[in-house]
Parts: sequence; structure tokens; C-alpha cells
Amino acid sequence: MKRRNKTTWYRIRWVQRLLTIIALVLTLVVAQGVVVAGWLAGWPTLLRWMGLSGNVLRITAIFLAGYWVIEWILRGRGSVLGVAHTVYREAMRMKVAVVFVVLEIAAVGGLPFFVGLGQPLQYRVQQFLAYSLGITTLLLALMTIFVSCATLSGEIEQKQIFTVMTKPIHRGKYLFGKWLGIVLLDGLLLAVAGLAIWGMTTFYMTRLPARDAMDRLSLEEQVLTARIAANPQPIEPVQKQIGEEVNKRLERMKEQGDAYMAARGGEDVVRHEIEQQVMTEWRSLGPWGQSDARRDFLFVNMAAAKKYGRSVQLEYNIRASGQTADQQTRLGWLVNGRPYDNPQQVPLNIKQTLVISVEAIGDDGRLVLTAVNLNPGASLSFPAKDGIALMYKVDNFTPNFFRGVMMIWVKLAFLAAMGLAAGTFLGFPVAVLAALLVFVGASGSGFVMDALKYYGKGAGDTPGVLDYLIKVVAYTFTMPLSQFGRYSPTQSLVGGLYISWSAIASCVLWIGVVWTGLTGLIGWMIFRARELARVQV
Amino acid sequence: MVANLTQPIIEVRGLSKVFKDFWLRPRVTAVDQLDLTVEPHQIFGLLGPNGSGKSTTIKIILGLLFATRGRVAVFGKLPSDVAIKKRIGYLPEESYLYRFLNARETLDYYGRLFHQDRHTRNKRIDMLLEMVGLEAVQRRPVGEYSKGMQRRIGLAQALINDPDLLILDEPTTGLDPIGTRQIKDLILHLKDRGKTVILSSHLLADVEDVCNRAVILYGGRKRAEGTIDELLTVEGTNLIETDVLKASTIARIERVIEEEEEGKAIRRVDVPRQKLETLFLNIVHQAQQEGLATSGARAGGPVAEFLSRDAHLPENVNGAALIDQLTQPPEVKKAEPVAVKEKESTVLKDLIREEAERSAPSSPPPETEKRKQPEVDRGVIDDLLGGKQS
Repeated sequence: MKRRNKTTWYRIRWVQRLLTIIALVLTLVVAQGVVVAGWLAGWPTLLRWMGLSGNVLRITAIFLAGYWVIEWILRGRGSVLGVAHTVYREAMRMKVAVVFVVLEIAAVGGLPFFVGLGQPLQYRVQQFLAYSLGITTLLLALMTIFVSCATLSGEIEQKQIFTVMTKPIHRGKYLFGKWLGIVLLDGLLLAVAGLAIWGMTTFYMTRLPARDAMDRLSLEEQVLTARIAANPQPIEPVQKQIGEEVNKRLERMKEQGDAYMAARGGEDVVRHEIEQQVMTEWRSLGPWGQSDARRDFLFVNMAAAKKYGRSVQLEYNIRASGQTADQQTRLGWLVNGRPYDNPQQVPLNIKQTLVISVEAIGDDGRLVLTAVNLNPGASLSFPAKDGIALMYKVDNFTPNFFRGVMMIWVKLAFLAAMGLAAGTFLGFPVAVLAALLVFVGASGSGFVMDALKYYGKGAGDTPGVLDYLIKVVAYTFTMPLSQFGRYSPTQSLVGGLYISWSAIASCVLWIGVVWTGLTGLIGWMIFRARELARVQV
Repeated sequence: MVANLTQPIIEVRGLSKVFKDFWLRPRVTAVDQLDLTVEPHQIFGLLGPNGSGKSTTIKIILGLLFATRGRVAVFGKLPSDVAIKKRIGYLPEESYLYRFLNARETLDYYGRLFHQDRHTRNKRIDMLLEMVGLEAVQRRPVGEYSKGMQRRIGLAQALINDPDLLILDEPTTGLDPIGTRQIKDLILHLKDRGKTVILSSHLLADVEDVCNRAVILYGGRKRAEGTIDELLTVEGTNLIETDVLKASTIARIERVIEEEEEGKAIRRVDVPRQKLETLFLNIVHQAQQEGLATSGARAGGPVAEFLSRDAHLPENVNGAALIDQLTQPPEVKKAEPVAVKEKESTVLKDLIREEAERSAPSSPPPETEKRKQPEVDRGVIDDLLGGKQS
């Protein structure tokens, strides 16, 4: 009896595995077949829908394949993998993953039919990317926090911890196993979500009709791309003048005496301040008719832009002091000394984009753009931050997109560590609340930090003790979290900005290693010191 | 692994555990100045009513709670030492299992925590599932199991590492009489193999049947300790059991006693009854032999082969010579007290029988029946029965 039962089970398991593999292969074949059929048909709508349905099948296949690969990895030897495997199974069998996938499909599948309708295609795609990546990040962050808080505090609450911690496994390894299981689950779900968004963008959104050729070009060159920003510098003669001006002003300051210099932080600090001041003046244009109404901006080392793209984009933002009508001013541009277009009215304080053909870049990689202030009643200036930059392509959208997804994964790994750390000493509801507070605080830390800079500095503000206290407390809590908000792949992908490998490495180092490690360490220290049983007398 | 014979398995000295409230004010003293020594190969009973400190003591021994005062050594090391846990099996007062795992996955998980390779795990899991009678339902999530079935899988997880020290906290809770009997048999079997077992229970029959030493706790303090014989022997009486005798024969025996033993007489003449547990077991065994089906847990199989081996032998040793060797009692064995289960009419059994009789709808005994209770010191037992029953 025993023998027969065992053999039967083994047979059933092998048949199950075989069927899964066959289903997987068939799914992939069908998926590719559908795409090819769409391509052969050559009909845009059919192509669009077939590409989409092919992608759905591919996602299904990737999900199944990923699920089995992780299962296989976690079947390896060792107690850490054992713990990770159990968390993974817990999340899968408690339908956490299913709920996520259903919500994700509803969101990603439904968004194109709601967002940006009637707008140029470039903006529709940008909005789709912003919403879908935002929703995915939010859903996965919530899932990670819920699972990580529940798995540990739940085991302590329901006492499975009694049987686990009486086995030869260190508490630190146990925590690490839990973290690993959640991170792998996140990896799988993120891969599926990423693929869904990428597929929807590539196979559906980009195949929608554009408003005109310029709209299509903008989409390709400013959204579905990976660009970096080149900052301008003065042309050579002006560089020399600026250097001389800095030295002159520094000498004047030195004449005030050593004590004066020391009070302002020493010579280096003063020099830096003067340089900033002179450069701000350099980025300013006097009113039309004055000698400084025209400014040359030199961009160097642009040879790579010629290699990867058809155009570069000058992005600028202008401020004015003086007479302007309707928050607009007249501004003209020259490209290598030749007029770019007819001078136009330009809105103030709103980002503007000028598309320039790569042909304008010289063989030496140099490009000179000249701004001319055509308003006789106002001075104009480009702010130091985001005031003027030349964007050019260095990579394609797809690898950039998956680097961005990788960055999200690293951030989720931190959230998993934080949820587990909270679960080591708090019950489930309180642990979730604490983790959510940190998540929201961390996500909005960039905004809060900016806001704090101006807090109490408004006209007529006289900050009191309470304001000072609020600022100190807010800084204390926001400062350590500010790095979390700084790594924002969604913002980069929506703006078609390049996410470099060095940025990924920095994110992995700071968020994935330092932050996650520190949070895990705190969790481990608490978990190690705490009693796992409670009073029962 | 064979325990070092010169060293106690567990040594507890002056152990106290005070639970404090949020403001760190002492709230409950769960264990108070407890001294205990568990020697190798002992089946050690921890007796006491609910809230007497049994589970707390066990949890301190396992490192799940920390002592407020006193010293605890397990295999000569601190309870927090992870290495000692390789040699311990623990069945908590309830089988706290992962509801989403099935029986096989549950045992596989615990096996992995012991760093066992897949081959060893699978072999042991097969044997354990057969032993606890869950082989046929091994793919069902344990969340769907009855309490008794969960208890069985809980027991199996405690044995996955073939432990030198097995700690069982209320192991028979939720089990049917067959399961209860199997656990007792298993304990005796492990004892024969030289293992050490700590059995915590407030069910007196459990302890009496299997333990060779016991400590009785009340209010966190030790009230009595000794071998079961020492605790239960009733001084000044003898018991003679025969086949049914005629009244004239009994009268003659009484005369002989009067002639030979001045001032002494027969105190009680009774027709022995078998225990309800025995009757129940016989009926179920008969039904199983007749092949009647059940959708629940089946009767457990034989003790898992890896639990039947001598502790020092590797798992992959086979052969007929080995079988002979396996069936022999271990060479290293201390002189044990007389097997407790052989003794009849002890104070504890009488108490249990009285309990059973009180609850059974039976007619009162005839007035003529001569029923004299032995005069024993029942202070401790009364305390136990006066405590909360669960």
C-alpha cells in the first residue's frame, strides 16, 4: 500500500511538471506567432491588438517561468532558503500575488483608455508611463509592507515561531530568509508588471495615431529614449573674463581683512560664492538694446549625440524682472550663429523645449546656442537648477526602462527590511502603520526638504521658537529618508532621462546595502533580545 | 548522537521567572526558585495544574523565554546556544503549524531547518508520515486537518531530527485514545533507545504510564520530586490478584491472615474491571482488522525506522546483522526502576478510575461491597485535582 501510494504521487508530480513545461513552450510559441501574424497583416489596428495579446501571453509565460525558477532556487539546501521558500509559498497561497496581478492588469490594461485622451501622443504616453509606474510602485510597496509585517508578527502572534526558533537556526538567518523570500516575490511581480507596462507602451501606445510628424518625433526623441543633460559653459573668451572677474572680486573681499574672510568661512568658501554669483550673472540677459542682451552658451563633447539620435533638445526655463505682458516675453535663439526660427513669445517659469537637428553639432562635438532677449523692458535669467540644458540620447528606452524597474526593486527590498524590522517588536496593525508612515515620509522627503528650506523665510515671517522646533523635528525625520525620494525612476522614465548604471550602483549601495542593512541590523538586534513567548499563567 | 552520560541533560538552579507589565512592575511569578536535574535516558514528568509553571519552565529551557533569575544549562550550554537545538525535538502545547503548507511540506520545512539533505528528508518524512498515520492525507493543507491530525503532524516535526532530548508539552491533547496510546508507546520506545524525554502534562495517567521520574509543580514552585515509585507507593498494604474465588475460599484466606498476622484483615475484595481505555482500544483494533474505512487519520504505523536505530549508527547501514543489533536494547543503559505500567491499583489510577466512575451513568455499588480506600498522603494529589482542569 505504502509503495503504491508513494509511486503514484511521484508519477502525478512528474506528469504535472511535464504538462507545465509543454504549456509554457506552447504559450511562448503562440505568443510569438500572434506577433508575427500581426506584423504580416500590416494593418495598424490589428497589429496593435495582436501585439498586445501576444504580450499578454508572454507575460503569462514569464510569470509561470519565473514562478518555477524561484521555486527551483528556493528548493536548494540550507535553512535560509527553507525560510525564504515558506514565505514565498505563504504569499502565493494566501493569494497575495493573485490580487496584485489582477489589480495590475486592471490598472495597466485600463489606463490607456482613460488618460490623456485628446492630447498629443507624446503626452498620452508620458501620462500612461507616469500613472502605470506610479500605481505599480504603490501596489508593490503596499504588498511588500503588508507581507513583511504579517509574516513575522503573524508567526509570533500565532506561535509558529515556537517550533521554528527551537530548531538550529540563528534568529538573524531566520530574518534574512524572510527578507529573501519577499524580495524574490517582489522580483517576480515586478518583472510581470514591468513587462506589462513595457509591452503596453511598445506594442499599443506607440502605435496609436500621432497628431502630426512632430508629435511622433517628440514621442520618439523625448519619451521613448534615454537622454542625458549637457550643461552649457561660456565660450572661451568669456571663460577668461569670468576667471578674471572672480579674482578681482576676491581680491576686493580680501582687502576687508583676514577677520572678515574668516567670518565668511575662509577663502575657498568665498571664492565659491563669488563663482556662483558671477555664473548667475552670466546666465542673465540684459534688456534688448543693451550689450548683454545676447549670450552664447557652448556645449562640448556632443559627438555621442550624433551617433545615437536624430535630434537634441534644448530645455530651458526663463525668469524675468521688469516689464512683461501676460507672463510672457520675446526671446530669440541662434544655432551656431544662424537664427533657429522666428522669435516667439515665450511663457515665463514653464519648461520649454527646442528641438535641434544633430546636424548642427560640429565634428569636434561643439554646439553654440545663442539666446537673445528681445524685450527692451525686462532682464531675463536662466535659473541655476533646470534653467538651461541640452538633452541628447545615449541609450534606448527598453534597457533604460528595465534599469528603472531594477531601481524600484531595490527600493522594495528596503521596504521589506523595514516591514520585518517593525514586525520584530510590533503587532501587525501597528507595524503596518509604522512602515506606511516611513514609506510615505520617505517618498515625499524630497518635497518636504525643499519646503523646509523656505519654511519661515517668507516676506514678513518672524519665526518663533515653535517654528524652529517644527523645523528641527521635521529635518530630523526627513533628512535620513531624503535619499529614498531622490532615486525616482518613474520621473526619469517619463522624461526620457537616462538611468545610468552608476545611478543603479549608487541606489544599490545606499538603499540596498546601507539602508536595508542598517534597518535589518536594528530588526535583528530587537528580535535577538526579545522573548518570543508571552505570559501564560 | 549519544548523550554524555556523566553530564545531566538539563540542569536548572534557582530558576525564577517574573512577568512584568508595561511599566516593568512585577505582575506574575510564573516560576519561583526552581531546581531540576534531568539525567540522560530519563522519561521525566513535569506535573501540575494549569498555570503551575510547566510550560514557562519548558520555554525557558528552549530559549523562548529568558530567566529572570537562576541558571539553566541544556547539554551543558546556555539555552540560547543554537548548536544544542540540533539535539532537541519539541512539541508545543498546541501544534502551531503553517495552515497553507501540507503535511509533507511542513515536515520538509522543519527538516531543512536541521540542514538535512533532500534524500534524508524524504526518507524520514515518508517514515514519519506512515508512523503518525497521515500518509494518505499528506497533500492536504494542514489548515484542513482536525486537531488530532494536527497533533500528529506536530509530533512528527518534533521527531524529524531523531532528537536526543524530546520535550513534549501536553502531547496527548486533542488525540483519540489510539493516538494517546501511540504516543505513550513511542515514549517508551525512545526510552529503550536511550533517549531523554521531558513530558509536561496535567493528565496524571499519561505521566504515570511512561515516566520514571517526575516533579510536581504548583504556583511555580516544586512541591514534590522523585521516581514514580517513590511518589506513588502506598506504605503498609499488599495487593494479591487472583482468578475469581469462591466466597468460602476468601473466608479461608481471611482466617489464615487472622491466624498468621495478628490484628490484620482483608480490607477489600473486588472484581477487577478493565480500563475504558483498554476496552476502546480493543474495539478499534478489531474494526481496523476488519478493514472498515475512515476519512480521517488512520492508525499510526510502526515507529519510523530512523527512530528505531541505535543512535550511534549511520542511516545508510543495512543488513541482517544490523537488524539483530537494532532489535537489541542499547548497551549503555542505566538500571531502571520497575516498569511503571506493570503496577496496578496505584493511588493515581484509583483517582482516575473514581473520576471515570463519577462521570459514567453506572448504578451505585451495593452497600455490602467492602470498599476501603488506602490511607495515603494525598495532599499533593488533592492540590492537583483541586486545580483547574483543561
